[in-house]
Amino acid sequence: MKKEELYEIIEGIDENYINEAEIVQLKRRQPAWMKWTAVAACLCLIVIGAIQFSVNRNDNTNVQQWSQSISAKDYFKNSHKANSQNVGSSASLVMPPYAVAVSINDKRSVLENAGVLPIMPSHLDHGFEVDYNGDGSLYKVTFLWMRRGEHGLDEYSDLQLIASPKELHEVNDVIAFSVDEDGNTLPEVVTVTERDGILIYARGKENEEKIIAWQTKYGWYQIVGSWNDSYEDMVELLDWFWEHPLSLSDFENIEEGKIVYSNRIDYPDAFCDQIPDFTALGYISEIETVNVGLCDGNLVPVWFEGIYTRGTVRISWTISIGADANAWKACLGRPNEITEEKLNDALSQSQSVNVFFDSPCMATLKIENGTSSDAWEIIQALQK
Amino acid sequence: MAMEDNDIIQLFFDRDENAIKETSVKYGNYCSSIARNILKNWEDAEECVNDTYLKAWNVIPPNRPTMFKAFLGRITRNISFNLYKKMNADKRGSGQIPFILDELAECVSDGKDPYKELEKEEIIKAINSFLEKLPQEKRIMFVRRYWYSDSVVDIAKRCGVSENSVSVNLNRLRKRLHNYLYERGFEL
Repeated sequence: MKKEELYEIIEGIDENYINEAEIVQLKRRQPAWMKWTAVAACLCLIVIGAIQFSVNRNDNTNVQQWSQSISAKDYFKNSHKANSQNVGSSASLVMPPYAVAVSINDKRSVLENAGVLPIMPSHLDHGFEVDYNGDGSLYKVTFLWMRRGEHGLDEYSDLQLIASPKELHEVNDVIAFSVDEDGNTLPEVVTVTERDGILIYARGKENEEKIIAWQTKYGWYQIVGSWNDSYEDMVELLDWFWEHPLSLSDFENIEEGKIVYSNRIDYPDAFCDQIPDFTALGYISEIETVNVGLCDGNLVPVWFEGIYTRGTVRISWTISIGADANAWKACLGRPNEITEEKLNDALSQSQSVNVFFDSPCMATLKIENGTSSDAWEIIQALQK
Repeated sequence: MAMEDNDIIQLFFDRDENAIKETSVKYGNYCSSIARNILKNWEDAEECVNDTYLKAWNVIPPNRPTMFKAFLGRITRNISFNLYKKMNADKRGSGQIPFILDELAECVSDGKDPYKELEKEEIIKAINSFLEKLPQEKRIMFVRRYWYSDSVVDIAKRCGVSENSVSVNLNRLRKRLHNYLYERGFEL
């Protein structure tokens, strides 16, 4: 029998099993939103803000139950209590959290016809984009619908759906937080609504940016509305995606050619100043991979992975031009800013550390069966 | 508000073209996701979903499906896989199918003689009996992978386990299926 025949035969299995596999939800992971914590700064100059909002665990004690009669405003009923303010620019944007951005603006009608996206007749303009990490994995998908009136700002609207496989963090140059009348910082106040067993978090108030966020088996989702989008506009979009869940698997495969998977021999100059001379340190190179992709419209190296061994010591050196919040959190600074003590301390808590380069890119050093002296030797090679 | 299945089926029997519209409203996304798992290309997948409605229109009546959703899903899977074979798509651009077929190759010998319909019926019965004996979680993993053609990542999310766990389980299930069929006289 041929494998295609077996695949066709499986088509005939009992309909009860087909239904079961569609309907039954085996386990529901605890919403990871509950684990959100505020994202801190790294490298003194760089401040990382979460594009979502952090949720205080205590806020979850006050969860309202969804019902058919719940109004759009109810989703935000506690959110308006905080007086949110944007406070100054404190950092410069140095690095995107993803490596490759692919526009899918031409897919609007196809996605609408396929029932993947709602039809938004009053939003004539749009910006759809899929962002990938340097290794080709999906970072996020953004659907932005825009409306610009002919007479002033009355009709202004920017509605976005952002979806991602993992919790998102982006590097921002402005951090928003809330202050009371005396200027003291207030904890983030959100409204939490449980709907079909899923917690929905809403933040924002009238005449301000609003966000609705939730997590499902498919991924992380947030709807972002401008100051001029009403609660009803936001919830209408939420209801649509509730009925038509967006599956991220549709966007996981990067379009052919947007990332070229290659090796270092083909791109000898790729990240040449960010890869230590492992050979000079007595290491043998096992793998050296370079991915080339679209960054700001140019085809450039976006990712590198090298595996090097010396005796039993195994080093993985990965470089990406995109860095998410986790990368920043594990970042020790530029090579010249790293001391042996700082490195020892970091390696006592983790197998890997990140190094920042102004190019900009971020390298991850992972060490197996080695000591912190081996790692320090590599950092020193970069300091020269 | 979507119509009840029985009411939609009645529209087919009444030869009312709203049957297609209502089917599309209720099960359009379900069929699309099956087609897209197989074909990956949205336009092709959408064509298969439209062909699904047409096929349903042609076979209802006389058929009156008891499980309308699975009935439609089966038609979509069949049409999409036929298109996949016709396009002879390569491994890179065609969804999960090349990988799934490679996995199923572990269960078959790649023999040349096509199986007769009667023999196929017997194999389906044996597979149903194999599935019946599995714990629910493993059965769902198997059906999601080899019927819905879901990616391992999606199955892991659905089942709340790691991708590695899904891969390991599927690997064991394929071996068990091969042995189960072999013990019952099916030399695939």
